[in-house]
Amino acid sequence: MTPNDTSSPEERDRLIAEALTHAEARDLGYRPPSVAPTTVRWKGAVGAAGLLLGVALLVAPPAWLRGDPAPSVPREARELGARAMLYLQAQEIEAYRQRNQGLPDRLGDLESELPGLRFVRSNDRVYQLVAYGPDGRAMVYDSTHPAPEIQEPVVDLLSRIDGQ
Amino acid sequence: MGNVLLALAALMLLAAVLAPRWRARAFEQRVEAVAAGVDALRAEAEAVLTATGSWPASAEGPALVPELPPQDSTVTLAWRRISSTVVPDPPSGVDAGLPEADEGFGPEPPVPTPDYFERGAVSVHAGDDALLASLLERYPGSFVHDTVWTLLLPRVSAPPD
Repeated sequence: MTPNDTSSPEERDRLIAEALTHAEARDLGYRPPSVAPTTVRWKGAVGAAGLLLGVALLVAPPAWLRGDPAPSVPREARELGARAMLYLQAQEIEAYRQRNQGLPDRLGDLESELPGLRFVRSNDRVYQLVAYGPDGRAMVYDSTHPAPEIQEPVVDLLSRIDGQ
Repeated sequence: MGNVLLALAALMLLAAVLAPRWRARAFEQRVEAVAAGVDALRAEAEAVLTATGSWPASAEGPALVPELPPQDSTVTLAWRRISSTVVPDPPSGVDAGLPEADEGFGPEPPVPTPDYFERGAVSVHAGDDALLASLLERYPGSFVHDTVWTLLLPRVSAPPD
C-alpha cells in the first residue's frame, strides 16, 4: 500500500479490532500492586496517635518541652516598687507645698501623677498616700509620720542611683 | 490515608517541639524592642539635660517617646519628671523659743531657702508580667508597681520656680 492508496473499510475494521484485542490482552496482564490490609491499619493507627500526641503537646506542652519558665516579677521587687512610688510622689507633693505654700487638691495638680496611688488630703497640712502591695495589702504614707519601712529602702535605692 | 495521617502526625509533632522555641524567640525580640525604646527615650532625655541643665518636663514626654513596633501596641512608654525638695535645717542658735527677758525681739532669723531637685523617670506600662520582669533584670535599680516598670535617672538641681 502506498501513501496515496486508501484502505478499505474492512481493512480498517480489522486493524481496529486487532488493536483492541491487543489492548485487552495487556490490561488482563496488568495486576495492581497489592497492599496488605494490616499495613494500612498500622499506618492509620500510628498516624492518628501521632496526630493526637502532637495536638496535645501543642496545647499543653510538658515542662521539659517548654524550656525555661517565663520570668515573673519577684514579690520583694513589687513591694519596693509600691514604696518607691509612695516616696517619690510624697517628695513631689512636698516640692509643690514649698512652691505654692499649700497642698495640691489632687495628684493631677502635680507635674507628675504617678500611677496606682490614692491621695487623701486630711486638711490643709496633712495628707496620706495609699498604694497596694503585691498581696493587696494597703501601704499608707502618712505625711506627719512617714513609716521608716517605706522611706529607708527607697532612700537606699535613690542613693545608689544618684551615686552612679 | 495511612500515609497522609503519618505525614500530618510528623508535621504536628515537629510543630509541637519547635513552638516553645518560636515563642521564646518572639518574646526575646519583644523585650529587645521595648529595651531599645527605653534606651532611645533615655538618650533623648539625657541630651536635653546636657543641653539645658534640666530634665525635660513631663509634658514634653510624648514628643520624646519613640514608636514601638506595631505588635507592641499593648505596651506604652512614658517619660516623667519628678520634683523633690530639701529644706535645710535652721542655723544653730535660731530657736523658736521666747527671747530672754532683757533681750527684745531682734531681727527675724533668716528663713532657710529650700533646695529643689528633679529626677527623670522612664516608665513602661504593660500587662505582661514576664516583660516587666525582664526589664527589671536588665536595668538594675528599676522597680515595678502594678503594671508599670520604672527606671529612675539621677537627680539634678532645679530652679526654685
